[in-house]
Amino acid sequence: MTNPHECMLCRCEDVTLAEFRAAFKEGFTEFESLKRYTGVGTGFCQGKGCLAEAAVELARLRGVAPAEVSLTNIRPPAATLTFSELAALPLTPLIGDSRPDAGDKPAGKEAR
Amino acid sequence: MGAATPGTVTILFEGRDLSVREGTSVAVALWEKNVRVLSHSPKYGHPRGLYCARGHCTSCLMRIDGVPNVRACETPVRDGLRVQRQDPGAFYGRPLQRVMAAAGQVFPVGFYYKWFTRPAWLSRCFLRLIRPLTGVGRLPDRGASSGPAAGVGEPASDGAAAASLARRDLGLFDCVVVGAGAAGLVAAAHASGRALLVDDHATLGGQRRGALDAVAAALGQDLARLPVLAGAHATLSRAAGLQPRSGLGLALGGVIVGAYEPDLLLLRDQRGLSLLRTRRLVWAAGALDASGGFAGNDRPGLLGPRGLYRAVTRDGLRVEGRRALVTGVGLDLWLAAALLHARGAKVVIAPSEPGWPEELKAAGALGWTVHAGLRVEEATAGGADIELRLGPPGGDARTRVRCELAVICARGKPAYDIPYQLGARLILDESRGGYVPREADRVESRLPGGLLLTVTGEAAGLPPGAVLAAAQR
Amino acid sequence: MIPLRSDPPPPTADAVVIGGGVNGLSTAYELARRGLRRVVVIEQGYLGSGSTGRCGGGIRQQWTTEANVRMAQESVEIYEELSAELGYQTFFRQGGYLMISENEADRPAMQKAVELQNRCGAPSHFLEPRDCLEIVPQLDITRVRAASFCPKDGTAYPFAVVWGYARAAQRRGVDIRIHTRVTGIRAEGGRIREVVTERGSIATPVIVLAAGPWTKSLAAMVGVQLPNWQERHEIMVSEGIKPCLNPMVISITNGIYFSQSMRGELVGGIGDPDEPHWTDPRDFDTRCQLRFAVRFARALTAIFPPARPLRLMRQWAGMYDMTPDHRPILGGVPDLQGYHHICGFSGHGFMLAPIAARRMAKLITTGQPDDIIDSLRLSRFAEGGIETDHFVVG
Repeated sequence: MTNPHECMLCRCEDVTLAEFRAAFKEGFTEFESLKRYTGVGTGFCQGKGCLAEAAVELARLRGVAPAEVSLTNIRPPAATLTFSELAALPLTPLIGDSRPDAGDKPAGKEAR
Repeated sequence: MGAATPGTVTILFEGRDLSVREGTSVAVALWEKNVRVLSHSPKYGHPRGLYCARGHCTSCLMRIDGVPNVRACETPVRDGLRVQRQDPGAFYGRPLQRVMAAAGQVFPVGFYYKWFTRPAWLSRCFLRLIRPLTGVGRLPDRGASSGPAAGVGEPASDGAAAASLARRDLGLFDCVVVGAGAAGLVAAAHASGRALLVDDHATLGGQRRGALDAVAAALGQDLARLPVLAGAHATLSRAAGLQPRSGLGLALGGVIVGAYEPDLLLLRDQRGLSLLRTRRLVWAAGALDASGGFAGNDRPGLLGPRGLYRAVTRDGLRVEGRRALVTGVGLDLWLAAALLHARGAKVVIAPSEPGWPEELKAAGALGWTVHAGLRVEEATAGGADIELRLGPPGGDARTRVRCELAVICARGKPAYDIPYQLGARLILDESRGGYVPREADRVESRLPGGLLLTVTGEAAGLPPGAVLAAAQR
Repeated sequence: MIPLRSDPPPPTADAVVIGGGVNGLSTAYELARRGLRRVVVIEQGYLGSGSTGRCGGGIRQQWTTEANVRMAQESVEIYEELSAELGYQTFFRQGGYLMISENEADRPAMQKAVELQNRCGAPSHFLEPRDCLEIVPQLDITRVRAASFCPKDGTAYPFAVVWGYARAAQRRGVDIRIHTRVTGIRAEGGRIREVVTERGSIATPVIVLAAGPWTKSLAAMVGVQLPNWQERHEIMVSEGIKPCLNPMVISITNGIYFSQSMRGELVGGIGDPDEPHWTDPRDFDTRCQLRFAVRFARALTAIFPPARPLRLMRQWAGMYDMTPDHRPILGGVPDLQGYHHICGFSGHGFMLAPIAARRMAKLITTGQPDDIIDSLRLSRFAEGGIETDHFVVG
């Protein structure tokens, strides 16, 4: 009833429902590759608008329960952050590094 | 720039002076001036307009004061602000975009991987040809500030800039509650130790608070005729009455803009960016509008209910005398319609599901046009209007509604990005609207890095207000 | 493309390649091209899910050892024709590599490197700082002391390369299995016999380990000890904007590199000398760190100021498979017939894969000795006299 060529799945990258289905038919049946091939969820909003919808559609295409579709990675940040904002932040320690001086380093080690 | 009328400012839109209402966002100001198209989509060149109104989507990306890809919905207007649309032909150029939009089937998905690859010289020519078309927005003007004046969720302005961009480390918290809706307020009332409550609104009460208050004020006694709204208003008023215990830190107008395992959060508020760490996180950030899966679901004029609440209550969107359609399901269907009514719009309501006997009676009494049992099949846009074709599921009695604003009230999608970034394991649960923790609501789980996480309220896939109702029982 | 499937892999094969990244798939493709009929590729995740899909996509010929320059040159020659050969657009674009240094002391080394590269036939040239502005006008050259540029270097889209190789390999009969884990490799009587996966076993006389950071633990299954270790490296993309940056810019001083993709995004990373080393896959940690975003943003805004108001959209981490001389390990081992490895690229596997695969496939199918593979044999570390390349960056 609804024309899948006119139904937008991912607004940022302009991916229609029809394109998503066509990519699945081509053999991209696994979410991570499907995402990269079609562009779904890779735009400016990083999937806020479409990843859940895309996953529901993928479950439907695969004929499995939605819970069986693994979640595609959501990486930081969660909102737009400019490079100048980031550059002004203090340096945090490496994951797992609890040394008290593990953050901002004296010149030499730090990228300038 | 001419002498401004009181209450207005003059922005420079597409090179021409445009006098707009003071104290609102660029996107809402332009809508009120009947400018409905803020950007064009990159591949098909579809026109896009005000949509999420909260800095989540791409529909209002414009070049503002020489900076590309700035969200017009999060940028306050001011005198002399330069606002431009960007690259209407991004990606393929207008002529090819028109072909693609008219006959998307001609271009199979990923055609650029498969076409024009042989021989090698042709492949090189193809790349040279398409390279200038990639990307949206040109490099910032030389000397452009590092961002427009700060709106919530957008970078703080430069100029005062480097100084105001905080080099702040707020240290370790015992508990951070994100979201000050009913669920977040319940959690905050129980938070112990050094605690912080974060919400991107300026007041406590969550996404619907402003809308419910506006509706209650406008309808007065008549609110009781819409039981779904009367109930929600009472619930939320009780929640807002939950006194956050003394010593609770408040970060209103604040957004968690990123999370890093195991326990690091990045907070942006009026003062800029801050780092903080926490032992416990209560994620009560609510849900996001879903666009609905119908043809033309990206046309300008379509909005989600949360987008509408934000545009009306924060930015003061003026809808007097405008024709507006509200369709869909749930509390938001009625709240969006009542809010539009309260602000003087001509309301058409099309509930997609059966039920609501009291509310339907009230709708008639309030003078709304009612089309019961219909859902949107297709949206088409033309000029300042949007036309929706509605039909019953499985039937063929079509109705067409022409309006300036159409609010699609689909089931909200639980917000989940921050818990995911902290290592939470989520599953897709269609019955709860999207990605939610496997565990039931309000069960605290320990993430791999040691952080204790609770997801609650709409973010856990519960109906609005359910947490508070449960807490009161 | 390669759909998900849960049926067992074929019971026998002529060769089994472990790893569905650029090295494994290009090797499988080259083996099939050389007439091997039953080649199977086993990948534990999705195609390119290891290091390939996380890399910056750069391909350069500016190195300080002759072997690396020659390998890179051959790789560039293959990349130049690869889209046509595979019938798949790899988005290989030769925008060049601009290498910069902030140390006066690097000038002679960079000049010497350019001489070596020119001797090998790579068209690089040494640049004074102000000359950089002709290549990237927006660069802040205040702290640049020396630079070199090679116009034939470039970038490709890693996933397109992976898919292109996979599709071309599949058309030549290669059987590719994704989301399938190798649980054992059986050798007997000095020969490779069988690869055991969680979905079934494959009897095979030939295996090729091309599993990037996971190669070391796979090799250990048949008693081959690799000296490799693994490091986390992070990378990011910005929003996509109109083309504004032609080459890859790379600093040998602080390790930042960035280029603009064919989607308009800036893609780049920066090495962190404080990152720990790992050798056990159970320790691999590819979590994202704010620390990286801050270090990258500081370095980027300093060298490329117009990026200041642009936004970082996404960051992620991947593993470098490192070796003591930062050069790959290719070939086999003397006392185990049918065993081969392609690993240890130390962060440069994407750019060297096409040539490594082509030469390895020739070695495997013909047994003819190959000078480059010989120079990159595992035993070089025990024999001593290894030559380290100094231009390992990022």
